[in-house]
Amino acid sequence: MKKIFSLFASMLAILLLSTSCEPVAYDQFDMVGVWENDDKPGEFWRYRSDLTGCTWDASDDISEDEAQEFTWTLEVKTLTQIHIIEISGGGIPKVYTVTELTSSSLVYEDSFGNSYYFSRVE
Amino acid sequence: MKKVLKISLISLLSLLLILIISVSTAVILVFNSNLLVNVVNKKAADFITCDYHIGRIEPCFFKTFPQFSLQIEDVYLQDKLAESKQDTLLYIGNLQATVDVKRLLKDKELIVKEVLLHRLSANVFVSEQGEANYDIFALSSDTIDEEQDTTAFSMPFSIMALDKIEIKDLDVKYKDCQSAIFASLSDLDLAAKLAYGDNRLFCQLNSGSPALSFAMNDTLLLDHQPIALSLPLDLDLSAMQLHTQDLSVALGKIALLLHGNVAIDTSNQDILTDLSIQLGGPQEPISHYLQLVPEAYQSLLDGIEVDGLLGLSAKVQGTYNQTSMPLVDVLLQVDNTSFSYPDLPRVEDIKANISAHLNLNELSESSAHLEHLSLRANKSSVHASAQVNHLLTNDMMLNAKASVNADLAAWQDFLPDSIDVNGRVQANADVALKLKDLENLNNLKKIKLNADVAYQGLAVAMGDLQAQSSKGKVHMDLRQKAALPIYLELNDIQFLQVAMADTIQANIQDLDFQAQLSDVLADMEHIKAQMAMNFGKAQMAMADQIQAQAQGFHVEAAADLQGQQYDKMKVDVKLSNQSILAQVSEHKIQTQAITLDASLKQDSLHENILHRFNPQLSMYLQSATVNTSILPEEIQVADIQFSYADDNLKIQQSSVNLGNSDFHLDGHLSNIIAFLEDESLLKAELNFVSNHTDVNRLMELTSGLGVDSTEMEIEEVEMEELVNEEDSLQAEPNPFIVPKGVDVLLHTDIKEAVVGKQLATKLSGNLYIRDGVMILEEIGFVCDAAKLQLTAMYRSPRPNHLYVGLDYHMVDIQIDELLEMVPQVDSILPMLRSFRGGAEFHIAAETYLNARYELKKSTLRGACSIQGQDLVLLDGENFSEIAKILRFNKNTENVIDTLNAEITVFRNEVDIYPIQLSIDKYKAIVAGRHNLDMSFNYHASLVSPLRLGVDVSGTFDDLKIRPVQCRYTDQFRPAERRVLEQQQLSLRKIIQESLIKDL
Repeated sequence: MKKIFSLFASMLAILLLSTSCEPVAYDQFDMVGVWENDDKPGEFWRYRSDLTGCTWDASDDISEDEAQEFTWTLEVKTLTQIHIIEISGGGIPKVYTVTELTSSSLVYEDSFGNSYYFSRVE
Repeated sequence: MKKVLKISLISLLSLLLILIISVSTAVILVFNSNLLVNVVNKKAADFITCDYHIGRIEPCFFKTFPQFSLQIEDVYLQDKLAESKQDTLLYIGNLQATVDVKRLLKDKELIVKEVLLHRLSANVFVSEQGEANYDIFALSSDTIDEEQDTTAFSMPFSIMALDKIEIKDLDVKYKDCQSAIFASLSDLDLAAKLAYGDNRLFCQLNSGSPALSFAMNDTLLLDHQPIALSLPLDLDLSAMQLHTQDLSVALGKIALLLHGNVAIDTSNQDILTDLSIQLGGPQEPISHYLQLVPEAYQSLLDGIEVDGLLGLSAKVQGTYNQTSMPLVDVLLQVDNTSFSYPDLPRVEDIKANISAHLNLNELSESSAHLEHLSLRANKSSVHASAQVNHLLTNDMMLNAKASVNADLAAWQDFLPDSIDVNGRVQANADVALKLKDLENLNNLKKIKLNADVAYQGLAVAMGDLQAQSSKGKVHMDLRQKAALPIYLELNDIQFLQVAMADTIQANIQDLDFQAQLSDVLADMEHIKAQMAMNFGKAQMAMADQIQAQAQGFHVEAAADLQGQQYDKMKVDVKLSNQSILAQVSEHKIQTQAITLDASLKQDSLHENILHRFNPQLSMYLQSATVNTSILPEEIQVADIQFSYADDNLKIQQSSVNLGNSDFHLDGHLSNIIAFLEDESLLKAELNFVSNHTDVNRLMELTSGLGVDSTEMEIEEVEMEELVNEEDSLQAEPNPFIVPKGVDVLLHTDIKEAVVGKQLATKLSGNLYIRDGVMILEEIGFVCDAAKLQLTAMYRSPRPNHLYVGLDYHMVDIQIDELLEMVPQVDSILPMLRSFRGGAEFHIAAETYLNARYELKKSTLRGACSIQGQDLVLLDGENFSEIAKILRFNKNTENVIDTLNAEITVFRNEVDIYPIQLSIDKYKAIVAGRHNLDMSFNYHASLVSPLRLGVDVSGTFDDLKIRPVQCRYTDQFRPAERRVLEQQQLSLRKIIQESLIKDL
């Protein structure tokens, strides 16, 4: 019995621990707006409420009118961007994990551990 | 005048009666002079109503026997009309008559030996009321009528003769206030002989006065002009025929000579005439005629100087009655005459021979003939002849020939100041027309005109316009029966130069020109014309901007213009040329041979010029070169044949060299009209066959065609900025701008092409250029590195923002040569530097480039696949490091059995999906990310023969390798292999949609 109790106790502990480590869920509509890459000034990302967006890099002599489109989703903290090849609609998938999303800042990282820092400009 | 003659006749008869009475009285009174005067005065009172006086009557019978003579002196008749303001009606100083009494008594022959009248003067006056001062005889017309003898007239004498009648010093004045006529004769002498016998009356009368004056309506028409008469008459009373020979009436220095017959046909009272008239001598000085011009009209001759000889003669023949007129032939001769008038050139050596035939019975048979006319003026001469038929009718027909030889410079003073001419002209013209057709130019078609003009050294200047021609001929012909009656021909124009100010200069050598024109004066709304022109050589220059040269030029053209503004026009042109050189500004074309067959048919309902004129043409051009600022290379066209009709341009064949490229082009272009109206794209489908094509150069040459210049100007600013930012030593960016406004499909077949630094061979496939987008569809070719197939899209919205999307398949490519051919691959996949050998390389990607064709890394998206076997892994540091850790056998060859990589690219992130590698006894799986900044983060899992993991990160200069847990098992199969295929399919879909989106 003692062993059985110990087993249940362990399972309960594991359950409680696992419940306490549940990831934070971000509201995807907090993403809506224009963000500028803090590490690459001039690189802008616009997230629209219809889950589309566009990105452009002014340092490459590109304006927003010439920006390239993508679609995005934010589920819990997983940010998935499908970068659309401009005139086809097909895309290159990029998956990130959001670690911070406030009204003024956005931080996410990729699977290689690279973090990306953004500041809201709109 | 009849009344005057009647009264004069009565007066003469009365005088003769008085004479007879006087003679009778003399005989009766046995020549008692005083008694005779008394008796005559007493008896004369019965006949004469005016006061009169007879001074002396002296009969002489015995002294002159057997002739009887009577002399009367101082006969005076007083003018009874006070209005005449003169007292003498008639005065006879001395009258003497002699009769052969013997023959009168014995043979009943009245022979008047002589009648002499000396010192005679008469003043005849007719008042405005018609009263005449010579109406002095008591015999009234009523009395005469009552006692008129109706018996047949018969001569009381078998012979009557007046051997001599002589009048000397006769002065006559005649004034008719009713008719406003005044005439006077002074010192008239008259001598006449009359003879009658066998019913024939002969008369020879000679008379002359040094001063004849005549005025009418207060206009003095003759002023003391000498007059002389010579009247030889032969009157046959039985035949009622009057004959005269050399009848002469001389007024001034002009004599009228007349001879011939006038007869009366007693059966029908017809007058038969056969007269010859000569006015003046055959060579009468014109000045003699001018002397007869009345003073009142002399002003008309002011300034006129005329000298020469003039002869006028006429013949009158035929019957005159109420229905018939005699025929009249007139001959006018002018010789050695000169004429001048102020402000007109002096005309000299005028010679003319003009005859006219007048038939008043049948007017259509009247005619005039200018046998010859010649004259000289201002170093020029004219010769002409003419015939006018149907003279005196409204249907006069003129046939004329004229020849003019003119020195144009001599006529300079008679031209406007703005016109300056030089040269010599020889013109010949034949004309046949009805004069009434000249009244209405609509009848131009009915005129027959044939004119030839030959000129030498012609130079004409009109304001800014100047023309020169060394020698040439002009022929003009109005052909009555031709459909195009107006014919103009220029022949043998050796040299023609035309210049307008300093802006236009043109010259033509060996020009022949023919043109035919419809009757434009009759119908201006429907004009037809045909033209043919040849010239040996021509040059034209306009304001240093346009220059043209042509040799061996032949053109034929026909035009049919209808409508109020010729809005229904049809033009056909055929042109052939040995060579043409044309230069407009910086554009220049030169050909060795050209043939053109073109037609236009106007439809005014359309505004577009091609729709409106519906041109159809076929053109062949040989050995041409084109230089234009649009293309920095010379275009060399060995030959080209094309045609245009119904908005389609078809190139049957062409052979062109452009730069170091050569190609044959054929196919067709359509939608030209919509393209010109900016409504649609210019469509073309062409076959492009080439032995050698320099793609780089062709892209340079065609870059930016059709692009709005304003777009380019905006970009230039950005380009300058870019240049400033970049190394100033670099060449100025000049990217390829895809032509806009066109939809071109090129089916290519190229033996070898220079692409980048590679020489591609056996290149074939389709090239599309559609409104700023260029698409290469499955272009296959072979180069040193591999067999390749490329489907690509290139778009150039602006020079510093160039889109490239491509689907690139390289089979059996040497990796090192791939890196050399596409250096950008090294940036994206630097690990390829570690391999050597053949592989298949497939890539689907898109990106934007800057003006230097450098990647805008922020726009890079793509996927690629590399498949290779037995690749040599280069013996580099990386391999050594990895080999140490993995404990490779040192004898193991660094050959990778199989490489099968799937890679995606986003911006500077190159994600390598798990790759399975086999080397030595090891089987490994590698995945990771490589950044374009040459940093990377890889994981390698050794899955056989043992499991071992390693992470490799950092940069090549700062490599971090650390063992980690294996992420993959030997059973791992990459899950995302379809990424490339998906992208390729997407790209193909893009291209397909792009190709059909406007269809």
